Amino acid sequence: MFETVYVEEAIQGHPRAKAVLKRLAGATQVTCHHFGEVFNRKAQNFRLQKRRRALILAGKRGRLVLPAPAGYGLGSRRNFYFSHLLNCPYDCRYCFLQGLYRSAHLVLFVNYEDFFRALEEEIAEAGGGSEPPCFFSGYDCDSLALEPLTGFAAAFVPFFAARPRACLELRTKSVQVKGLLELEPARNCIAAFSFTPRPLHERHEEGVPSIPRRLEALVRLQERGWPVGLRFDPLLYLEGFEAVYRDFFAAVFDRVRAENLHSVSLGNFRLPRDIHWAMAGLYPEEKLFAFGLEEREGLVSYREAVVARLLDFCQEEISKYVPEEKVFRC
Amino acid sequence: METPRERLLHLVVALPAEAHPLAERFRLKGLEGRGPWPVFEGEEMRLVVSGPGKVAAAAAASHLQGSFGAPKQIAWLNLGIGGCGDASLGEAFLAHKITDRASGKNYYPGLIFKPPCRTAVFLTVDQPEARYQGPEVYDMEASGFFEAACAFSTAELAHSLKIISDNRASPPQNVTRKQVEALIAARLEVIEAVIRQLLALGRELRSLHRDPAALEAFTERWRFTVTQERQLRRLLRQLQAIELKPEAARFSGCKAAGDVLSGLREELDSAAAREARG
Ligand code: SF4
Repeated sequence: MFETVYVEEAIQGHPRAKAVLKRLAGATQVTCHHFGEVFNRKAQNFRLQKRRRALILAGKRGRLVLPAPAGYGLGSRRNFYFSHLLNCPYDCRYCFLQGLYRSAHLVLFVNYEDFFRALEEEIAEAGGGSEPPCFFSGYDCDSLALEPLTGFAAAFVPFFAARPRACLELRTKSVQVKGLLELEPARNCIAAFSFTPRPLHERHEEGVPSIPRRLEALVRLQERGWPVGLRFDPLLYLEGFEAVYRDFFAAVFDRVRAENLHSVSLGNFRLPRDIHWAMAGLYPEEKLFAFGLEEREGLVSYREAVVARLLDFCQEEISKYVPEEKVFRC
Repeated sequence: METPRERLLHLVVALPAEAHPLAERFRLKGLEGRGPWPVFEGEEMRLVVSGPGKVAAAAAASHLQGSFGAPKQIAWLNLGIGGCGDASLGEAFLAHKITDRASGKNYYPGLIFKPPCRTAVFLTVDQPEARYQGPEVYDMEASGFFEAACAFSTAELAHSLKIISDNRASPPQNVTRKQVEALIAARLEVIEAVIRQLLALGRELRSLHRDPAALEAFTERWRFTVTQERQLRRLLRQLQAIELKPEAARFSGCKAAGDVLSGLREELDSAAAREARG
């Protein structure tokens, strides 16, 4: 899976680091002082690194839980995110992580106990307020794609299950649900699956399991009683998008029990200016970044009229299957 | 398509004895009057003989870059002999980490291909070392080389490959020039495998960053400022990405470079409108 593992010297003895290293016994181990020496250095190429990503085991320091960016959330105004992992084993051409980070390697922060402390503080601060805080774990990564290696859900779901006033979103494009299926469903832990229609999936989502396999994983969780969400974000434009998205939603809602869904969110394709610039530089031949986009208030996106057409159309289609109050625009 | 004269690999070796087997294998010819360091050149690569030490390696690498104005996407390989307490004479190692013993600084070459030999930590020392303390490969150039190479390229394309010339049983003082040549010659297969990988990566990266085909036709006809030329390059790339072939002749009515840029932008906009994106 990983042929090279960089390990921060200070966490070499951490039980989680040891467990990961044991699983990756065949990999070359390279020690470093701080993960940034490998991950943040200047002279590296994200695109080339994707050919053979390395894993970096590190300890997360500084602020571990952060307020979510504006517009990120599911109705609550108290949205936070935290990242046990930076980057993702998949390769979606539109993924903003390619422009956010200099390196394509994956960084796993093994000090979950420090995350628990920080989350506990945030939850305590929220107290008995009317809006429960919502914590997003898939902002800088795919929450579940490396579950067999990270044991992330296995560790964090029980933590949240014991704190019903808070909620956790696990966002994924993976089919790694075995761990969740072995746990008791937690009402406040939402497994949120992201999808794009098949032509876009085939064109832009390298390494991501097929749509039927992911729907299968989602349905298994739903049947087991887990709250499940659907994420149609980003909505990507393609010629004749109406027919493509209409058929796609029909196929999704044919498999999923819509009445049991926790939430559905949709968001248009948007990238901060600098991130768009970096991504277009990495993929100068990529049509997705080449035309039909414009910058508004620091964000690069389709033109307003196109965004409105896409969002309105998709929301209307989704509303055929799901009640309005469960649908959110991000 | 790659032009045959584009040399996408720079080799830095410390000793003439390390250079000879390489020059022979890759048909490199000596270039005259190229400054203080001997430089050799072949179809796909250049080689400089830096002399021993990290400062010399960095200076020679900078010289190579400066004299030939190589593109950013060039690959760099530091090749030579090294010592290791635990390894057999003649074994080849690629560095997965380079530590400069004097400064304590660490460097991490990006191993994005399957190495054809074992990898190791290289410890760059200022004086030949005969007391090997750990499993590291001792060398005298890698840290200086790597720091310089990363200023011109990317860590995935900068590597250091050493053939073991001395170990606990056979100290460095015993190594003769002839032995160095023989050690390198005996490992040419591994060396060539690394070189082929690096050339392929360099070529791949280069093809992405090559100037758009139509650029010259535009810059010959109009005077673009540096900023405008950057915009032109970007617009031409964008048009290329959506499979449009912009022709300079179509803009013959434009007097100023700014008008040409506006015209190209309009082409992109109409393409977007045609797909109903606009
Ligand atoms: S699955 Fe998500 S995080 Fe991973 S590459 Fe795709 S968009 Fe990015």
